[in-house]
Amino acid sequence: MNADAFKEPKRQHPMAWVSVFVKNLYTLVRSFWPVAAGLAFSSDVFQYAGWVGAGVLVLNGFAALVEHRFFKYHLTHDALVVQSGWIQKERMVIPFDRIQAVHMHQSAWQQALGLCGLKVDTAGSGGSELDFAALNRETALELRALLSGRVQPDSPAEALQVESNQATEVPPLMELNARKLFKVGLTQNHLRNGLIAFGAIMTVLEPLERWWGTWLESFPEWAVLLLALAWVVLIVPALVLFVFLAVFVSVVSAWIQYFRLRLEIQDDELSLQSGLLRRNEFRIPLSKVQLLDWRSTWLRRKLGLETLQIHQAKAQADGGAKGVGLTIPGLEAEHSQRIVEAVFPQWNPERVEGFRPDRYLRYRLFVIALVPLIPLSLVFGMTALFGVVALSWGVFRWFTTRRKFNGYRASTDGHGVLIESGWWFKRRTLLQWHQLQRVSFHQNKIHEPRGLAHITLHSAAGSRTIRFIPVSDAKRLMDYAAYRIESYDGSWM
Amino acid sequence: MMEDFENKVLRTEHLPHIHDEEFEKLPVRYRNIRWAIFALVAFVSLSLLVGLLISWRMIEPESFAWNVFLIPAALWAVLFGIWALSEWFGFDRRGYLTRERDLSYRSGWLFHSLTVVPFNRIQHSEVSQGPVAKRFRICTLKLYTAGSSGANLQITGLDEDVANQLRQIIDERNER
Repeated sequence: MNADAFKEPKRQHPMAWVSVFVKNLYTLVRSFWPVAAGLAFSSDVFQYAGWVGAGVLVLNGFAALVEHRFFKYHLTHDALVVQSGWIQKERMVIPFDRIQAVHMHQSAWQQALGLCGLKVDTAGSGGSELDFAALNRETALELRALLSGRVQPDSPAEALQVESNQATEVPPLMELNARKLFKVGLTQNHLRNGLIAFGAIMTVLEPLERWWGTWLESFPEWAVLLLALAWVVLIVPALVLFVFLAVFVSVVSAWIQYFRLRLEIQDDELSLQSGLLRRNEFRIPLSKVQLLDWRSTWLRRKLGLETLQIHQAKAQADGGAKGVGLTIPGLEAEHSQRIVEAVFPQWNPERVEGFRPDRYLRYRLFVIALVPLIPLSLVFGMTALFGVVALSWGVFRWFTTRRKFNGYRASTDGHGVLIESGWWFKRRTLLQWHQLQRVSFHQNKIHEPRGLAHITLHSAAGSRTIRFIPVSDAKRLMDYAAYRIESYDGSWM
Repeated sequence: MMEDFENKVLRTEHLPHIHDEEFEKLPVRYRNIRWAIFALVAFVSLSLLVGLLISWRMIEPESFAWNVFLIPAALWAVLFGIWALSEWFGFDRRGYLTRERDLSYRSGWLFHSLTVVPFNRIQHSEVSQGPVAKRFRICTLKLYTAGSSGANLQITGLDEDVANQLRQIIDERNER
């Protein structure tokens, strides 16, 4: 297709309405299914269930059709323009220079039909600003090339075709094979996954209580009595079952999410493809990366792996909010080094000045770790058993908090700053001074007499704090941050 | 061209520092408004507490017990004591500093903070003023940088003219 074809307002692929229909139906079911399940057992409502269901399907189908018909997009010389809405018209203009990244995704049905979804992320939104439900793969590739600025809208058709076809020609920086994928699955948060799976099972079983309750009532009395007496014996098998379920869910979810993961650095972009049922293809321009965030657990580090989150500018405030970025699991040290060399080429870990927190942090961590003993002492009283438990806990936490304290450090080479924290759950963040937005100094009445302070570095992708460092160091870092930001004339985003 | 090239050693101790004594304070009338708000909230909450106590004594004198009110009264005293101390000592720590390339704002007594916002990172600025603030000719200057949906620096209690001057300085610096 010629780039001129994008200058006229056009609709998505006709199958986009199916995607919108399924998405809206899923949202409806997710929001109202407990109510629907409850009503289904009422005989009065049950007889109308077919009519209600048909009504919902027809209305949803009509809404999806309207959404598809009135959604049109086109490109001007410097912006993507989207018109949508039937009764309430909306016109969205996204300048190309505000686009942070363009991601492609393919669900199973889209893969079968040769279609693609396209998400456009901008610095002004927390997540994706615009989501194309279904485009021809060729159209999606061309649109992505135009939106990411690799091809200009007035370029010849050949340039657009060459650019959109040059995928997977570069040797990958890393790939996840089955063995590595299994390792990634094994090092997931099993407790969280197990609880989610348990919650899902209970949510499904609860509305069906009438059925499984009747089934349980069919048990002979002696079996029920035996179960009631032997519940203590069942605790261990239940725990084993829970652990097995949790690990199984972790491995399967890692498999579905990161299947055939392939990471490439081509020219000035980082490209990541992964997914089994839904194939995602992320591309982030290297110059737009604001922050690199490595996270690992003790087990993951023992296997030589880390997870890296690459963040771009986002609209949400401080840290926790989900912003624009991508996650790369199963990264080895060599891969991390190559990514850092590509994204922050000036960072030199050989020439750094280090900053460590004061020992006050260590005692603070230890005291906080002892807090759970207070409610326990109220429950069990000051008995000998409690004394033994408290002493053991104290000794254990004394050593673990020392390790945790040793994990806190920050270092800078003048271009970038690396902030590290944690031991069991370790986190490392690398950002560049000149990309910062502002800098804050914090101190409370407990820190003041000890001469300590925190320094918070605010980037467009979130904030990171260097904690409990001497006031002189905090002020020096603040002055340096201001100097680097204010003396930098280039583009920071 | 090579002769113009310089690469001097940069020492962090030679970088410009932010000195506490250079900060400009907020107008006294803003301090008075803050004390007035403190007095109003303290009076209303104390009245509610005393009202509850009197009502209980009048409605059910047989079950009335003074000591039940000791904990809420102590909590009230601690809370408003801390608030009063923060107002008394904290106001003088509020202040702003405009340098050639950035704007700094410091505040807080129990929890002290100082934020530096370089002019070249400000996306836009805003001056807001409610009806009470308008009566006393004070307003709030809000500065927005990238990476956040809300104001990143908010200086409340600025004199109207000063706020507009600061905004003008920011606009001029960003236009360069």
